[in-house]
Amino acid sequence: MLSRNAFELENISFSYNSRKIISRLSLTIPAGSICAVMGPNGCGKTTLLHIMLGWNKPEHGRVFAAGQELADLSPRTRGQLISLLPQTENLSFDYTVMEYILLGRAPHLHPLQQPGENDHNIASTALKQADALELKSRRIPLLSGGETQSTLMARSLTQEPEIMLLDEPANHLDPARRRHMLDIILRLKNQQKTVIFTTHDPESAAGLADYLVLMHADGSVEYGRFGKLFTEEKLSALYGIAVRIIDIGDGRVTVSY
Amino acid sequence: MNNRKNAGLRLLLLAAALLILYAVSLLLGRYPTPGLTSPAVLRGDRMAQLILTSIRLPRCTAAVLLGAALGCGGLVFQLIFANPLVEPGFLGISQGAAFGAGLAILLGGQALLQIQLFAAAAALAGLALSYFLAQRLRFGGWLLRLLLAGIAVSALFSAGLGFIKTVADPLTQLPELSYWMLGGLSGITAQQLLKALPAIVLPMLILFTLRWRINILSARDQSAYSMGLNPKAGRLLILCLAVIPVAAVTALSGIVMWVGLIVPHLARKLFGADASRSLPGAILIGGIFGLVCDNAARLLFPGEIPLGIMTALLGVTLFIIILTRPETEQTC
Repeated sequence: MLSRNAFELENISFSYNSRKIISRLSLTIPAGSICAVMGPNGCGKTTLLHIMLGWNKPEHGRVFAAGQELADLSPRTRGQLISLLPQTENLSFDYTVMEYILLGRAPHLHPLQQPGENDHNIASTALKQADALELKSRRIPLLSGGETQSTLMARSLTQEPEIMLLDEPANHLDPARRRHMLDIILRLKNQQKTVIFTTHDPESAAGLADYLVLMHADGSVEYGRFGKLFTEEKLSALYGIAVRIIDIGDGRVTVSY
Repeated sequence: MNNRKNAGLRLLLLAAALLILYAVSLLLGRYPTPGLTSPAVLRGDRMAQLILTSIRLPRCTAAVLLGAALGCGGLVFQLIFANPLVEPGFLGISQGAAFGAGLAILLGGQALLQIQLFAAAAALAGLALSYFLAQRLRFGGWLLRLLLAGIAVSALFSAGLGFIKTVADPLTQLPELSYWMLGGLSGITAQQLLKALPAIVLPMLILFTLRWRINILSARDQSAYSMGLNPKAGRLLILCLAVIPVAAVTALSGIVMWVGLIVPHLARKLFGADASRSLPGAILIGGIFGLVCDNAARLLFPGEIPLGIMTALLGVTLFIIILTRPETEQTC
């Protein structure tokens, strides 16, 4: 890791269709930590991830990833540093899972290079890590929603990035698969990866995150240590309804609303 | 599909089949006798040799290149637009070429070269128009806008062509125009082919070398970007590389429908979606398809059948067979 910080956002603002989504946001996410992004629908969680990816350019302010200004990175270097697990993906064609997740090797290969044995091994390891090794020769269009999510996770892992951006990784998953997904993220932390994920599920954030970003509908953003921001008062204000957090031991909470 | 493992072998077999078919096609014709000319006869007949080298050789080569360019272009288009129903001419290229050819015929163009130049220019103009219109549209994502712009520009050109048809001389110009609209390779010469050859072959070679990376452009913009690509520039480059051969062959042959739609489906059936194998597959299958259809067009009857009719007949038949087979379910 080149820097102790995975991300430094300096005073960034972003509007979409002349609606201010983020205004003058500064935050620093230390390398090797897990950061959850929460907020009501349409508040700009995905936009924030896309700003960290470099896909959306902020109108003002600067974004640094691993100490380097994001806009200065070559696409290749950026691809080796940051991966994205998107909320939706075009999966129109008859790829096998293996063929598909190998695409994640692209930033490590030269333009004319094809993935080789080493890349296949990395992809297999990624599948194992995503608990999806049995999907290896399955065909993408025939996967269930949960299997698709595991496949996208494996594609992200195949990229071997330092920083992983996950857009609602536990969406559409049954409780067991959701638990699996959260365990995968926990293991990533042990490997010193930085994970930033959006979620609508406060309980899964509670089991994972070191830091929390709360994005309010009015464009204001709060950022800080998870324990400081994950309170009934803050969440009630965030969603505009009464939220209760009940500690059920083992560091787990249940949230009622 | 566990049979993907020996994809390399199947590519070789396809290549061998194409070569054999090509050699046989050169010996097929109506001179000196209808059917296959035996090499022994050929050795003694100067006229037969001349027909083989100056008529059949450029024509069969053109048929292979036509099918290969349309198959390759179709596969790339379908991948990039993440849509198995697009064909390589839809961005204003086919209708543009038809309009250009129609205009040349209306203005009294007699020479084939003149018509071809008009067709090529109008095909590229159609593409450029679609592209700039797509940049101006205020609706949808980039691919949807390109799709809409392609439809709009094609419709404009076909309206223009309709106008040309109503004012064209029904006795001299209209038959020529409708023959061109249905496509055909009769009368193609080596000189014409050689002029178009670099525009057909070079972009396909580049696409072939980039084939694995083209897969990534089928992902959503943000995903392709996250994997270290610039999706907009990448797609523009790959689209241009796919379109130039299509425009070049369309200018030679007129509008040949269905090849660019059906060949990619056949290639994906045989090799899976991964363009590392389906792209060379589409080039080879396209070559075979073009050659078979052109052979049928020139040999089935004493008179020439327009190539576009043959490709539609064979293409639609295959299309129906593929789409009604049970294992096709959910996998295009």
